[in-house]
Amino acid sequence: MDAKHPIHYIARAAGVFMATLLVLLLVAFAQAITFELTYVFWTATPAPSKEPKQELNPEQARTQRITGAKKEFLPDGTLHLVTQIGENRWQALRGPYPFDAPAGQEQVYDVNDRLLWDGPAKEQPYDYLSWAQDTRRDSLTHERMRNLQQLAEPRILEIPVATQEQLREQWRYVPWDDCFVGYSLEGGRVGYLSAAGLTDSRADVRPFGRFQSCQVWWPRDSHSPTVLWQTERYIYEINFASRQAERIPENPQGTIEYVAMNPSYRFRQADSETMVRTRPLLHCRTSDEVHHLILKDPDQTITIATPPEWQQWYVNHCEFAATKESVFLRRTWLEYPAPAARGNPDWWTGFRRTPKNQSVELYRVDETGGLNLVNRYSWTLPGDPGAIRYVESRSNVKRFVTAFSPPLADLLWLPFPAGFWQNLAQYDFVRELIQVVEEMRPHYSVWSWLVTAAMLALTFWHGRPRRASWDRLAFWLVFVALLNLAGFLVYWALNHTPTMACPACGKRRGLSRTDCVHCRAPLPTPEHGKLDLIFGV
Amino acid sequence: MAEIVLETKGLTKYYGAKPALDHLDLRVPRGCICGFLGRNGAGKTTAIKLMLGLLTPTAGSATLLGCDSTALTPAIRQRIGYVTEGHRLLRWMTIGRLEEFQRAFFPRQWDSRLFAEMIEYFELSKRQKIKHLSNGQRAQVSLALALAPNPELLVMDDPTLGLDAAIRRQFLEGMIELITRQGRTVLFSSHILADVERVADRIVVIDRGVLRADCPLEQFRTSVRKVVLHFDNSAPADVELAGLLHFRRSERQLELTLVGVGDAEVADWARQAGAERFDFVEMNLEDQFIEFTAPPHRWRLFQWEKA
Amino acid sequence: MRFLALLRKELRESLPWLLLAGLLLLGVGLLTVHSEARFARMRYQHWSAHQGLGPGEVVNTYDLVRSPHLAWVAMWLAFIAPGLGLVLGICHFWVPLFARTWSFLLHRSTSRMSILGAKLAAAILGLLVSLGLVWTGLYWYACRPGLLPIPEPVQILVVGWIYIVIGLVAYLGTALSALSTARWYTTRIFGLVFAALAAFLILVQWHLGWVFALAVLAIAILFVQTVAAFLSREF
Repeated sequence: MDAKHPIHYIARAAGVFMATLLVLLLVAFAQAITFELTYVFWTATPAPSKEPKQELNPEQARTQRITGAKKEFLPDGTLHLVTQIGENRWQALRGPYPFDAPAGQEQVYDVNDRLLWDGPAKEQPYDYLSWAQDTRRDSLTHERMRNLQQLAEPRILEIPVATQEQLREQWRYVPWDDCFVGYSLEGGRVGYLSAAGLTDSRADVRPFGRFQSCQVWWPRDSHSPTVLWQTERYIYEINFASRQAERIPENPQGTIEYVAMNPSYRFRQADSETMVRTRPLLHCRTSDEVHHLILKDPDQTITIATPPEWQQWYVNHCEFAATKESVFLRRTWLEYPAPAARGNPDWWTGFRRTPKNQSVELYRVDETGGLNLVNRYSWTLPGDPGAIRYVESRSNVKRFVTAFSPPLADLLWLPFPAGFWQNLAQYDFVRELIQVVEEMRPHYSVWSWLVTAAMLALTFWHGRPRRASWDRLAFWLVFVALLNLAGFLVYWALNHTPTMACPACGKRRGLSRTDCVHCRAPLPTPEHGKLDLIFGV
Repeated sequence: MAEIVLETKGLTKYYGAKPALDHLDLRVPRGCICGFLGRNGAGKTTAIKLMLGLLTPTAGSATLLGCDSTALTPAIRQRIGYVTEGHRLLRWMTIGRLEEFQRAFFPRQWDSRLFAEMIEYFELSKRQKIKHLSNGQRAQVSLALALAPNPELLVMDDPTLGLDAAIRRQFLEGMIELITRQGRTVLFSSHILADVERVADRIVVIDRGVLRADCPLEQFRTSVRKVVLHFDNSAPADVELAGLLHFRRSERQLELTLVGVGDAEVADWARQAGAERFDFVEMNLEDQFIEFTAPPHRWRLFQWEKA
Repeated sequence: MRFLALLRKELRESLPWLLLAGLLLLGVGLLTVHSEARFARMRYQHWSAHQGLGPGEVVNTYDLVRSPHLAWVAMWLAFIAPGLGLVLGICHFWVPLFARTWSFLLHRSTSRMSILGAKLAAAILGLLVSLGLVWTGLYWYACRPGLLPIPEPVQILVVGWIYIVIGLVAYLGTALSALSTARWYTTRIFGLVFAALAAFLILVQWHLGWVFALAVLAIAILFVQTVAAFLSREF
């Protein structure tokens, strides 16, 4: 076979790629195992405090009660602080309240620390505003939908259409077409339901859009479930029995980031009195921080743009409630600036140690989306002086382990701002991979340079007598310089040719070429003496 | 000058840092039956595989029928018959199926009659499966498969390996019959010298990868000789004679193995050494080969005197 | 004619394994389809309104999710296809090594590329016919009106074909490992490991585009190396 056939060069490159990929994975795996095992066995944890638990003084008890209480508003704007006995998170840590108190007990205080009510939660007499809840809690999220489509275990989503006695149709979600296709159980296809509504032909289908979540409930007036289908830009309320897909809201400017719904909207089996006093409400927030409220009974849409200065705080959460008379916004916020970059250990330490002001505000929302402050309540969250800095010992082990990581990772990170590669990734597993590379790259450490230099020296020592040419050796030296230990292992695995001592110059030479790389002497020829009977033709 | 069908120039193959074949220079003319001899591990199979393009040489080249061995074209391969070492054939096939398979590669030159005659001669049936055949029968089928396309050059790697004497004789007789009938060029390796003696007209001897002999059989036979010298007194302790391969000394005798030394030279030396008389020992090819390829100045098994 | 002779020889050698795989898949498939059909009809006949929930209650969406009826068969195919690829790779490249028949085969009056091409063609044909045809036939059978209440989604058919492609990846990985002259504890095992890695990466995808890209990349990488190794290997 002609050694210069192009397939050999392509195959050589493919072989190097394949070997590099596998060895990089192997080295990364070894690094991760070393890192995690060392963390398991050597991580320093703070010794448990030997001091006896102290009783809280009245001021501390008050702070704890206020911090742990739910802040509930009455329709007239009055704020109550509702503490649930036996379930309070702070009590579980250090509170003086008896742990053996029966569950489901509530205490209601006003803002002046007056106890207004104490008794079973079910008998509590106050009729607070009912806030719209995040729909993701009970829904099929984007990640779960993706898992359904995973090739290793494909599953299908089917929505039934039925009467009291009988199942009549099944509507199956088709991810490729991003629509539902209906089948009658008596045989035959019913049609396609998509953003374009019901169509007979697949060609007329319009995709819903990039899926975010879906929630399904049984409406009161039907035996077929209603589906709330949320995409990046729209929410569809799909009724398969009537074969309709209603799109809400109509013209959002940004992508939808958050969707909430109150029980009335779902016709949940909640207290009928509550449903009488509330209006069905669907709330969605888009990426431009604009809130869209879709109300029913009567139908109404309100768009609210909150003030830009609200976004500067680390915690800033807006919830909405609607009665027959008014629409309300509850804003909970923490007076602590948001971090510049996520995951900064020093920021977290500062956050935990610093006392912070927390506030809850109630606004009334008018038809035009304007906000009128009704009530505000603030309290101080105490800092935790014992909060320790993020675990240090991991960083020492990481420095050792990442000394063997490829410097190429640092080169790829160098020209770009923080988070550039993560933001580029559209798929979660790519994002996770980039996160791993970011964690395990050498971070320009001296140790990694020293290890790389050692690998280079080894490569040169091994490769010099075996070289077919200086060009090839130079390629491998650059390869090892970029990939460190993994590069050396790949080089060594793919270039392990035998050597012999050259009879002319005495130096070690490889056998990949017929002449010695040092003195150009050819391979030694055997001597034929008088005892050989060589008489050619 | 005879046409050269097989030629090697400095053919070398290294395994690791050791040469399995070291600068083999060989020329085989057309019509020659060349015996390729060597001890176990000498490099015979390596040389044959290099010639047929199954191995890549470390240095040097080989040419068969004018084509470089590393780029043998299908047309050239059609002209070369090859009997592999151990007669490794496709075990699940019947002889008939194997013939069909082999025939597909020689559409124009396959001699069905010859194949059938050979199968009959060897008392085989086309319905027999290869896995049910003995070593000898497989060797016969291999030979038939190699000869039926009427190749110009036949290369056989130890074709009688593992065969008993009777089957070997039958195999060789068949081989002789067919080879001499067609005037083919044959290169066959063996370490059964009696077979070589019967068939070959030229021999090539390889020892530890190095070519030691490449000459007509007769020349080899006459060149390698053993002579026993008798002395009245003590035999000389040391022997200095050009062409000396080995010598063995007892109190009053010297046994010399010589290469390319004539009668007159022997007589001269014997006189100078003071020998009373000398006798040439009759050797067959096997004896000659063993002496020729034994390394000098080595302890021999069960010998009390160092040579 | 030479290529056909080689192809016929390779197919005949692989025939027992192809038959075994095809019949196993067919048997499991038919049994599953009929038992699933019975189960599905029972499930739809015994329908209860709101599935035990009250009107107005939120449905657990996982109650609305089910595996396709052919999913169980696809799971079998997920093992049969790579297994068949592995076995064919062993038959075509490992067995001649142990039986030492490479010398005989390589001295055919045809190029090495033809010999390799016949093996690859036999493997692809074998996978297509013994698994692909059977799987597609099973899907068509399952979608016949009157058998299952609702026809199977096309996705499950595609999933099965992806497993068959993984079988081809396994075949090429086995071939590459067989043709490598390195030691097991260095790079000889890389072919198999790479094939396994590629199979894993393909299986965790949900986007068909990525599946296609990864499959093509894996096959291309293994294919060029197999060709180059076979053309230059010493036997």
